Amino acid sequence: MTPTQYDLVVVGSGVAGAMTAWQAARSGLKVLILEAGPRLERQQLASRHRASARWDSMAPYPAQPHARQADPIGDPAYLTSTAQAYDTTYIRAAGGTTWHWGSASWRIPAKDFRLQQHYGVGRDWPISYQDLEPYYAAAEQEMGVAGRDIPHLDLPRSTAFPMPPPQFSVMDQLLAGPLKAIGMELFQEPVARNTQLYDQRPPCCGNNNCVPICPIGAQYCADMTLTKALQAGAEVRYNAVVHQLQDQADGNISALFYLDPDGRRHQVQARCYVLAANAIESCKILLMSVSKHSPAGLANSSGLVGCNLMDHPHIYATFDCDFPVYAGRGPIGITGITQFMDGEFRKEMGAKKFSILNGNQLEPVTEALIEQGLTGEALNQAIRQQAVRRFSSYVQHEQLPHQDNRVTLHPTAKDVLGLPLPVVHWRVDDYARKSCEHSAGLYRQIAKTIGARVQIDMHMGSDAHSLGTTIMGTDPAQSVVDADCRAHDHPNLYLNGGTVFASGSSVNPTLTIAALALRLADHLVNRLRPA
Amino acid sequence: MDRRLFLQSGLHAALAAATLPWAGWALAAPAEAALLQRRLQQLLAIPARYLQQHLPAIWQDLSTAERQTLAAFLAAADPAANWLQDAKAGPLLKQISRSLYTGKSLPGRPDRRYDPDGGYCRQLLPALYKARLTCHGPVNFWQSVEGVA
Repeated sequence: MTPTQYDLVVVGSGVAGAMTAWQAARSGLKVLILEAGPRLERQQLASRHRASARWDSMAPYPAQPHARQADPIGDPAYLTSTAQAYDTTYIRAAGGTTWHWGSASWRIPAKDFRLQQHYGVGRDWPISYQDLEPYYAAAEQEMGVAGRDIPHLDLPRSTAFPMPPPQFSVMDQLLAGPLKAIGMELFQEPVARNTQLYDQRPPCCGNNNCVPICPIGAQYCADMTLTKALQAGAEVRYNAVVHQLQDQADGNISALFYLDPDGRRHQVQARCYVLAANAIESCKILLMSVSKHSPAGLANSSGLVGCNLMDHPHIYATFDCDFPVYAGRGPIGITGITQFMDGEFRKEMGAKKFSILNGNQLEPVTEALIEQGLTGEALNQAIRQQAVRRFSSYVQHEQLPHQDNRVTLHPTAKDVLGLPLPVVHWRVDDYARKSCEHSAGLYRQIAKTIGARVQIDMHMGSDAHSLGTTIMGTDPAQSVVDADCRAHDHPNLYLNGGTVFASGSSVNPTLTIAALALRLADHLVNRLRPA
Repeated sequence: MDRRLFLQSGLHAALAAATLPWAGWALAAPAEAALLQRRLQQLLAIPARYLQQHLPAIWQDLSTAERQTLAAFLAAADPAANWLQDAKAGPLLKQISRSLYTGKSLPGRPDRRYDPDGGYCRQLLPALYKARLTCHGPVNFWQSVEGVA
């Protein structure tokens, strides 16, 4: 029997893969999606979360030996070589990591595409904000983004936000005045979380549980776009762990191979191949695909596959106020401080974005008081008193691309399918570190202004935003993919997702990943659709 | 069946269903049951009804050695002392207290919530908070504390 020939095979069904597959399928292309993990059910995840003592982002997602997920508390999918913690998380399942994200849906400000040009550091993208703007608008439409313009940021828009922003919480209202007085204005962050009925999803009703799982689906998950892709005619195979692509002498990819959970090997052929398996797993596939034509792995003539890993090193602060702020009512995050997302300081240190967190403080407060030895009614009183007066915040910082921050394959450590484990080599450079130290000073200033005690955790770990490992550029010697996300070395191989980012900016990457994926879909449709 | 017997069996079934977790444990270790509950009531300001409902599951997760340590300590403990500060039994009593207040499983045990609603500490929150993981309710209630603060 002749195997089915697809126009397009998309590896991964997170936001990047789902967006490209949906747009391509509804434009008439024959699309196959290969997803390493299973399909998940929201209700089951919510039940698992309810029954779990863990409160972290990976708690309800079941471990799966054939497609290990990045779960630093449970089973990490990768190894690390450096003292600096790289504690990222990612989900390998239909919908990918958008199951447990906070739904921040930022456009990258226009200047951040030209970091080298404006500030003499980092790299410039081969595309501009204007190139991406229509796709940002389309992505916001599909994901259902609620927000409002932030005047001082360079984010020109062709369309209005699909929904108005969420309302300030009581805490935001209390903090806004004092913060504005010291030049830090609070703004609602744009979020793909419904503030009204939208796309058959309910509005947020404040479960305060966006991470690890929104129990009602008010928050966007790429599983929703995947469903639309399937309705548009795309096919999907779950639990299909892609481990090799086969190249020819002319550079074209001729076949793709995947393993099922029992280790059986399957072959798929298509006219074009899209890797959308995230910044660690996509490079792993490229580096495993060694051939006589590509001895260092696919797309790697530059030697840069896996290099330039960027994230958003973050620090974290806990504030104990003298007045109740009632954190924990509503979604887990509503507002942020955006004054430090751009400025001349970027010649010296990274841009940053502050987020005011609205997570319920009851459990950490209670545990700390018991640890101190409080008992009886004194304990109950202290819990009542402190839990409503505490809130937390974090700052995510821009990091520059460096070749030695990279993903490699471990020479001997393997998973149950016999595939090598990735190794992450990562350190926080002085550009980001200096910004983190500056942020700590700002936190102390905030504490003084609002009359709170602050504890600062200079963790500087990953913010689960892995970026840049198949970096985009115009020079094949200095980059892995071109402005169309096509591998310089392979005419029919594309990389999709945060892995192609040329700079990390200080904003959350998901909306840009979605916009790039829709732009890639347009390119593929133009290339593959019959005239 | 005789009408009286029928009613009695129904009543017994209802009572058993209501008290089964505690009754099962009490049958297995009646002296320790009474002692632990009494001491925790002295130590923590948690209503007896809440303790009766959630303590059996925590007890079942304790090892034999932990139960023996606890029983010996509680039998001899000075009622006026803060037992959480005790070098030997304090850490275990803190763990049990933590489990009662948060509903979380004891450290090193299989991941679970003894109380999926979030433990006794949730009951100390003001009424303006939603219960843990309530999948319905008003939107934008977080704008204000009017009428609920």
